[in-house]
Amino acid sequence: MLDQLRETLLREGVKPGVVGRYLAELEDHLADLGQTRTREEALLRLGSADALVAAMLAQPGVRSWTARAPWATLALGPLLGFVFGCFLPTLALYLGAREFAADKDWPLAVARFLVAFNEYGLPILVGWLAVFIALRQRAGSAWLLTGAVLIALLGGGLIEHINLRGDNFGFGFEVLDPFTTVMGRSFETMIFNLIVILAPYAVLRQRMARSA
Amino acid sequence: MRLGRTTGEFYHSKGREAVTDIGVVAKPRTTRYYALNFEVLGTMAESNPHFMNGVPELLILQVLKEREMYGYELVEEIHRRSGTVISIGEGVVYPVLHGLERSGALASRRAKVNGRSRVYYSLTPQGAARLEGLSDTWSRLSDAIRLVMTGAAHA
Repeated sequence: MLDQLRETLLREGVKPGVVGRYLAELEDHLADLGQTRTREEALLRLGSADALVAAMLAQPGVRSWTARAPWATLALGPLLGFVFGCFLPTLALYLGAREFAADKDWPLAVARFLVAFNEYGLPILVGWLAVFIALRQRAGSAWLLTGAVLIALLGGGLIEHINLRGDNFGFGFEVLDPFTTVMGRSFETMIFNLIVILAPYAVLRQRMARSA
Repeated sequence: MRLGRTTGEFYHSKGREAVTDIGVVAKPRTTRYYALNFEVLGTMAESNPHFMNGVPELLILQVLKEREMYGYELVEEIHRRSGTVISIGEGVVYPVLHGLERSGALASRRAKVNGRSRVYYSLTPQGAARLEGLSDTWSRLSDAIRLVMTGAAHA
């Protein structure tokens, strides 16, 4: 019964942390009731699943952002996360190298790693984070798919330039037309990103549906 | 439509519906619910739950005024002190406790007891002030009801 209650509460959009605490307290309560009663009697005293769900939903502030604004947490948020995830570390490297290590070699190594990470790793990591949130909070798939497509498009077309030597000291970003292929990237990368982001979602969602 | 004994009501954007001991009548399409979380056995809560708004909070705050308690202990204490007349739904007391904690009326702490993690609730100064307000309201209401019942106002 408690597993079913967990699923119902999550599907109703209650924050996972609130659900976890509620169920832990209900389990503890059941254990106390079970000291003098049978399991069936204890469950009866605890209340019906409908009553337990309604009592939680009656409280203000228990619904998650993902339930209230899925477009924000599953599409816009990951997109902004990707943009700032690219920009801020690069800005930090640029400022750090300019101020403290203009003649050192290590900023170049960091820059190479950062360029590769931003172009190949970051879109997938941000996409997986959105997948994790969607699965954990039992969110619908429409906004997740929208977010994944946007991240895959942007990630597929992203080219980052960092120059930490000479007169052209600086950095910049370029987003290629996602439907043409330049330097072996863009469209193929977009499709690759999309598949890698959504494959765990498809597998885990199917598994969760089977176990429900 | 078959109706059982009314144990509460849900409100949602399209109106309200009764909740009975045989289940929820016509589950709403929206997810905005307001539920009443307790019943007074055999009394007016069955026919007019509006009268009982705020009472679960009042009882919880009053009982926690004396010492901190965990959920099961709290439910048993209210049941005992009311001479078993008031029965707070055992599982539904926790969302009320969480709500009171979020509003600052209660504080909680976790403690390990016999290998189990248990959450103890205690009254905060803000909760004490809220209790005072609720007590006043409830006292005035019960005095007014008593006056009506005894006809004292006309005397």
